[in-house]
Amino acid sequence: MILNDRTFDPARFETETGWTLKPEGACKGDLCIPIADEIRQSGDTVAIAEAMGLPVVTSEAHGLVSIGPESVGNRALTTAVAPDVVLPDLDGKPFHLSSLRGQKIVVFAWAPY
Amino acid sequence: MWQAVREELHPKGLEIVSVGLDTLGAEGCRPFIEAADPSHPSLIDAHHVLARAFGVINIPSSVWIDENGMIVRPAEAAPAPPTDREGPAMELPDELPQRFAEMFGEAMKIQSNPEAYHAALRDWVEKGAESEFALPPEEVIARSRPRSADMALGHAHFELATALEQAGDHAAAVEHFRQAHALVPDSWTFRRQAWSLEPGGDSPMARFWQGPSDENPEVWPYEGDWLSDVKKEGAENYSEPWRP
Repeated sequence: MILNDRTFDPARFETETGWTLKPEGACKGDLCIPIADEIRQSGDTVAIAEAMGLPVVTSEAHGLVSIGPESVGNRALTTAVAPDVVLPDLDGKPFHLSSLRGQKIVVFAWAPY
Repeated sequence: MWQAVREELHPKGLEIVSVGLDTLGAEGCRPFIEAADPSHPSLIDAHHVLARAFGVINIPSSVWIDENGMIVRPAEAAPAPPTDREGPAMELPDELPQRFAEMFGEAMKIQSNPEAYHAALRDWVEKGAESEFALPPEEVIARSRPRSADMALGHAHFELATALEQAGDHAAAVEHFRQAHALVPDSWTFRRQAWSLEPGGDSPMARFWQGPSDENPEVWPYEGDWLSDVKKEGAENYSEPWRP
């Protein structure tokens, strides 16, 4: 996820990383990573990400922070529960993958290059 | 291309969601989506969220998700339906530059198994969880792409590169694309995306040039390019073989 403001936004963090901040820690599926109270209370997304072991890369010149995905388990997936990916259509209207619950879905990735 | 599959299988409970991975966003994808005019959702993924969320490293590829929101097949090569395989997908100029001729030669050697893939898709749509092609959760996780701490860091570099490109700082973007390529060497999408943002041949297919120009080859900023990398790694290894 890309930040130009480090203030922690739980809803955005959940949508873009798949991790939810709960009392027991940052959780995805059955997995929870404990987060110390002082880090949680700092409200600093970068501090929270670093406590979770997520990689952080910054561009000072542009004031941008990039937070990468987890590598726990050494696999792209830590759970078979599909993340609720939200992406825009051609008109910029956001589409939630979860809106298709009840149907089988083939997510088909392509590129114009 | 998947429109016919969608029309056949949508009444049986399948939806297709196509996702265009492109740093240039909607403008990069628009001509292709408007030409295909799909009736299913067609989304734009400017930051390659599918790489992070599902482990997509090449295109075309797919992820299958069941009615309950469980992934039953992780990211894997998704060949076009067998019936779509006649003729080239795009109009080729009369005089093809040497590089394109070589690239098409290599592309012809890329292996896929559309018959097996699409038979499996129909089997899953018909039988659901009873289908042998719907994998249990532990198998889905085990078959998903490897991701070391270095690879995760490469994802962070890639997304920053995308943001920098969108902010108009191409030189800074190139630096982070290079880091992403070094850290996630098996991702074709990370490489192709970056290569496609360099000036290519002087044709409507400029974004497919994906390598040094004939005029100024020395200014190419990347270690590899499509033609060199495919030759080095072997076109037959470009796409992982389909596993039942």
